[in-house]
Amino acid sequence: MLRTQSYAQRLLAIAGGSAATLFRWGGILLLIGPIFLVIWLSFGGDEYTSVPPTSYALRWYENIFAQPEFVPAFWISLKIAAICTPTSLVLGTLAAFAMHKFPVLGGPALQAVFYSPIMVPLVVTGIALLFFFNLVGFTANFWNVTVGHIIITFPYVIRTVSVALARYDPALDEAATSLGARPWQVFTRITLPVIRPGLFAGALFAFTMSFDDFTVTIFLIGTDTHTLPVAIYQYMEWNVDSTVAAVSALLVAMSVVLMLVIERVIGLDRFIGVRG
Amino acid sequence: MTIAVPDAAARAPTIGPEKPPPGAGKASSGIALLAPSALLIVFFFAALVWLFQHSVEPYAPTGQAVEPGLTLTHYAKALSDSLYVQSLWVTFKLSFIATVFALLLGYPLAYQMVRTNSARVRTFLILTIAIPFLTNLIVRLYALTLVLGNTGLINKFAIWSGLMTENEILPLVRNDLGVGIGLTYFVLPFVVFTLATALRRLDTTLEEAAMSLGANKVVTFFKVTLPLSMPGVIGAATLSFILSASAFATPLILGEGSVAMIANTIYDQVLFVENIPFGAALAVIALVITILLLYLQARLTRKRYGA
Amino acid sequence: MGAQSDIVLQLTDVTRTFGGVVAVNNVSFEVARGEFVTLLGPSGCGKTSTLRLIAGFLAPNAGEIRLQGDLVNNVPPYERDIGMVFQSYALFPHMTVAQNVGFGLQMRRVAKAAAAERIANALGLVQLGGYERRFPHELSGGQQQRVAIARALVVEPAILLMDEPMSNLDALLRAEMQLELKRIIERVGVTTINVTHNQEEALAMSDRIIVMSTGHIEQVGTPLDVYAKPASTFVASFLGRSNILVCEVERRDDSSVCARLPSGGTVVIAGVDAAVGEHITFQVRPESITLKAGADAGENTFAGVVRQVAFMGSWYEYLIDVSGTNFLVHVPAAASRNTFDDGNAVSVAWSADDMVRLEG
Repeated sequence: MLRTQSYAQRLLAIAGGSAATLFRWGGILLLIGPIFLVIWLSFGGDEYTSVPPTSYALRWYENIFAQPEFVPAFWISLKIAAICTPTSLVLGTLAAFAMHKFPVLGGPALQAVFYSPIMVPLVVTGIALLFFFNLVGFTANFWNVTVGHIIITFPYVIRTVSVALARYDPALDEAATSLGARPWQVFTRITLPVIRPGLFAGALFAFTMSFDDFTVTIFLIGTDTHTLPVAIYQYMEWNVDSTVAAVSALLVAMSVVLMLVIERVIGLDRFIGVRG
Repeated sequence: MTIAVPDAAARAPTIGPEKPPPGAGKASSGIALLAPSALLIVFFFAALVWLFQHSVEPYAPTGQAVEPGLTLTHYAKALSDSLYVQSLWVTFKLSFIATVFALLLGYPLAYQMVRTNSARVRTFLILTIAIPFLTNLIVRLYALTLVLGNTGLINKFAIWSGLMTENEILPLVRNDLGVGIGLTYFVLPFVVFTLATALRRLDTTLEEAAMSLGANKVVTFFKVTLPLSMPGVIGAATLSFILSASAFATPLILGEGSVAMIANTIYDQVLFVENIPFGAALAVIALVITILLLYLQARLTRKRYGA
Repeated sequence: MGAQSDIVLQLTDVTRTFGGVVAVNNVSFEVARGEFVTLLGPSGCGKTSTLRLIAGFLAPNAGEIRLQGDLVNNVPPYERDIGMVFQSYALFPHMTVAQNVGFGLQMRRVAKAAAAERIANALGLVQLGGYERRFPHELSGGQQQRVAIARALVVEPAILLMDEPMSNLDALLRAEMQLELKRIIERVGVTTINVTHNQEEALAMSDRIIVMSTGHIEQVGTPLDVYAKPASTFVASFLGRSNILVCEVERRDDSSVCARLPSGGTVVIAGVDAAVGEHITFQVRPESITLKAGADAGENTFAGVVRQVAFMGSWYEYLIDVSGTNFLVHVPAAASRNTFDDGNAVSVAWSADDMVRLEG
């Protein structure tokens, strides 16, 4: 005997399914729609950004280099990120190892302490660091911003490396030891390579968070250290042409390249946490 | 072959002190590993303490000396002056709305991403959240203004399709609505990410059991999937609320100065009005709210689900 | 017998505690060159801890461990001449099969050309020739195990240590691997210590078995010794099935005693000396008992009723009720022309030589 559904139940099922689909597509559209729009408009040839463009040209891409602020800002952002990423990686990895090997150091209280920069709102971090740098007399804005970036990024490294260490089979270390490897060799030849995905994810977080940061940076910069996000914002405030669209398109291209790299090294689905 | 049988006659055993296994580090090496990070964290905490110190100082306009003594007037002002209470209220309101919508839009997305059997669909959905994650926020917000702006996509489309005349404007920026949409847009990738992680851990055989007992897909969702994913939902909601409440760039760019959430107020007070103690007090309030939210999340998750 | 240099491993009064628990309690034994010794026992008996003490991942709290005569109590594992196979195989996931197998050679600074030859030989030995370039995740469980074995053997260790290497294989594969592993080890001639809770594996592969329980050694002996002449009730019930009975000695003469069963009837036990009135425990293996229909008379023959029959493939398992005491009887299926059913009246019988006295 089949237990067929009642009419009301079937209606409910259809309504529910439709609502879910509607919301899902709404989400997809919201997530990536604007990005496609900005890429499209970056090729517009009009004097002012118009939707849709009446003509197409590459002039705004050229304008990026003609304007004085973008290229230097790009280099500054890159330099800061280039210093911040390895530093955060080393600090975070050391901390993760300490917490892994010595569980007393990995207790919830100490964990909360080391993860606190993630919990504290960026604006609070920004102004707290601004005041404190003033107090201790650090005035070099470039280094202030760099230290600020390191503080807000290295907890992410601790997290990704800790996750990788949690999954690590301790028998691997023992197997290497039983074959004659000294502790340093075990670390460099076995442990580090096997947790490479965690290291990579951590470095990626550190780099993107540093390169893209706006909130903390804007409290700590001086007139000579505009990073790219700040430069974009300032240009946006005063201009209505499509230069920002062109810069945006280039940055999206950079993200796509980054995504390909992630896919190659650890797989995008693992990075997002959907599988494995 | 010599065969040794356990000897009942005891031989004097060689007593040695209890030794740790060879190769295990001493606690001091653990502390050495942690030291550099600890230094940075101490620096960070010192900055927070100094911030708190500022927030209880009396206000002195530039040029004047700071009076000695501590005061709580700034906190009183923040919590009683209607201007700032309004700012707090706007912050809460918009964060709440953004969280609700982000959950509504994000849950089905996360669900399909985790449950679909098609590799193509999954790749597509993964890209949908990977791209925003990896793209600069300023760029993304600019892109959103192109959609919502007075001469942006939506307005142009409304005019083109005849829903509006040429002179009308649908105001989607410079107001609460625009910032609300912007906040949803901002937190959505994080929400999907958190929900996906939680849904992945769900045991699908529980849903199969429900269906074998006669529940259709919608009923199964509301009675099995949703309740079991609640810790993840609470986590995503908390994250979303905290991110929205402390958002700076989003209200700045989409509000264009007319919507001030608490982060913007702090910025104004510190860098324009130069009332540093007041700004510091607001920042401390924001920090306290964040800590309370995290505590609430931990309590809710543990109490309900014994996590 | 044998020169002192023939002893590869010597444990003397080794003790190891964790917190308040004594995991290894005053354990002593020796292993001679080329022997295959199994540490057998249930989980928690201390066999794995003992193995880890031998490997060097644990240091003893008391006692001495000597490898080839040298005291190694505080010598780290990477300075001991050991090869180890782990329960999870512990293959390095980021290295190919050849790199995995060659890792120990690399640590011993063997030249590349010589190493390549030894790797090829080792893979040939485990019948994985040609798999050099594969990665562990591309291999089946059985293949991974072989790589683990090759990796441990290629360094030509003084002693091979195996920690429950078969426990992740399914039953059929396990049976095949037992024989094959024995063949490989015999061919190489390496001294081996195997840890397992699986008594069939221990019986099939070992030259000697060390039965352990709660940190101490219950019995050491050849598989036949341990099976046919268990030293204690624990060993008797851990290896194989057994019928264990307690009875009171009534009469004794030169070669045997007569004892009374609690359910009535007398048994004759050969080769045992005990005082009259003493209570002794003995065991009889199910396969040593014969079944006949109806009543019968003779030494160690009793009347009983069949309570349960189970067909096990190559034998029938019967539960026979003899005046209130249950006896487990195994009868080979092929040989039995008469099968018995539930409720049949039968007589059970066994020879006095098949009874083994148990201590404790």
